[in-house]
Amino acid sequence: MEEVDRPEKKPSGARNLVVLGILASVIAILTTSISLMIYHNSGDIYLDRSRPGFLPDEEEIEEGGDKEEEYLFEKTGKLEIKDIEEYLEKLNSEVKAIDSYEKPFSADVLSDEHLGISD
Amino acid sequence: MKKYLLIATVFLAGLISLPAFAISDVQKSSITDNCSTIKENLEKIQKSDARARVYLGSYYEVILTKFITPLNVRLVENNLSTADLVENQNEFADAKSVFTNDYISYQQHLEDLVTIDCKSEPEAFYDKLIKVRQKRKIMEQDVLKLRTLISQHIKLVDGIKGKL
Repeated sequence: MEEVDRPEKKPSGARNLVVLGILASVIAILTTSISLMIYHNSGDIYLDRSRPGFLPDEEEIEEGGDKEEEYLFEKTGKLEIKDIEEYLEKLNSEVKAIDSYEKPFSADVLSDEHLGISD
Repeated sequence: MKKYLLIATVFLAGLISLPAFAISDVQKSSITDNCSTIKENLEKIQKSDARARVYLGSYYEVILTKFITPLNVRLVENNLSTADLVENQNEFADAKSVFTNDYISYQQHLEDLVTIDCKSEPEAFYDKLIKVRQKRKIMEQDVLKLRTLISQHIKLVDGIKGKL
């Protein structure tokens, strides 16, 4: 009997493409999960207000926009009374802004009454 | 002797297994009934606290980097530096980082609290709430400490005027 020469089986390009796609997706999911885990465990998530549901309100952006960010006390030069007076004046305006925030982290916010738990 | 030791062990084990704070039946049923409202309130608190942290944190950062630190550098240059002002700067920087770390810890506990099913586990929920309250108290103290350090700094800087 005559032997029939079968053509060598070549890997299919379409199948390779699918495998590549799956592999790329798995790697992407894995690295994203690791990144999110680090983001959460390091505590950065709690400091980040750009996460969903924590974005600043419109009025907040306007309020904070024109803060005295331009002022920077000069590190060099002869120090005179007028420099100290200007320094204290600018510093006091920052302090005023801090004091204007009413009762930050006050205990009563988490009281039974405030949360709706009756005694 | 062995008998007393056994009684003491049983008593201590009982104490340890008790929840930190006893919750009344009224509180328990109130938590179960108002579970969704309580959670909504907690989520609002989470958001307003995030706002407070960013607001205060940015002012503390400005005060440290644009006021206190450059002033101390200039005072050194002018041979007017005092140990009190340097100590105040170090204390302020430490208190600022403590404020950030305590906030992370507080938010982690608050998030755990929100994830507890208060309908089915009112006791565990209340127990966690007590812990969150303690963490919040620490935050309040951190804010007070930073404010005290700023006042102290202003007083010290005011005192420099006499040397000029």
